Amino acid sequence: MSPAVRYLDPEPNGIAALLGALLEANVAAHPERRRYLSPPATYVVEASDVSVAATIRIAREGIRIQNGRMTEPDVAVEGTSAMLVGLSSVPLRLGLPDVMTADGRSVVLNLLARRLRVKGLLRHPGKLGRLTKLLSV
Amino acid sequence: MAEFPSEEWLTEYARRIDESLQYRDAAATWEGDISYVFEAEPDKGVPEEIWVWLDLWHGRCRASRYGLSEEEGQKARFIIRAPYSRWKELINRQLDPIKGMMQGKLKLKGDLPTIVRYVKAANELVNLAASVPTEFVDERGTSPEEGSG
Repeated sequence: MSPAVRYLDPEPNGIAALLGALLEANVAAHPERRRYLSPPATYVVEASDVSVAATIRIAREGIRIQNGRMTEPDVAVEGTSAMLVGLSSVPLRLGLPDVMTADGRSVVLNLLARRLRVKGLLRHPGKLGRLTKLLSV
Repeated sequence: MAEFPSEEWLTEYARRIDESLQYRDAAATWEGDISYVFEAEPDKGVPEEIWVWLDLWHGRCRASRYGLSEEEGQKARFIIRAPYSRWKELINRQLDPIKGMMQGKLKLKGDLPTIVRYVKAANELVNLAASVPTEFVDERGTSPEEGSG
């Protein structure tokens, strides 16, 4: 049984709804990804071009999603809407974008140019890797 | 020029999807029908919600239907819903579909991972909608001369 995604707001914003639907569908389709839910971790994902953010807390017992930046997260990812959607479909190698592919190189170039910003990348690389694996389509 | 929303507009849109090589390339492995829901805005000439349906298969549009019932439309594998004005913004290229999704301006129902994998195809569907010569129902009968006062 896949872990429930619980929205803490009565009306999840667009990015919260998108992330929640992706996480729920991916874990249901790939039950082996449940192992990435623990230990607990907190993330903020923000679409900078539309100024919309969501906070995600993952744990073995489930996933909670809240509108906006609600806490100091372990990892914060900020980029344009297109970059964030692209992150979900980029081929991964060890949980990070595969630079052997054009899409993977594009993500890395955006990171280097700071068009895509990841806070916590150096302190919590494992937690970032778990999020990308959970969101990967 | 076809009025939006109308069956004539949908037929022309479906024809352009079916003939588009760019869409065929982007959606070569896509399998699944889509319902679009144009939500009512009575003050803009859309008194009731309108459901339309596209049978999209491997980069082709095999069929389309205008004005089907909600019960029929709900059977589609994917449903995209927004008020009439949002669709108008999409067709006029004033709203980017991905930004619209992030902002919650476009509501999607269906297997989201599949939609994310086919973002390029989704963008192409918007490009093709924008390519249809369109007169919007809330602008019916107005012309630039009239608007300029």
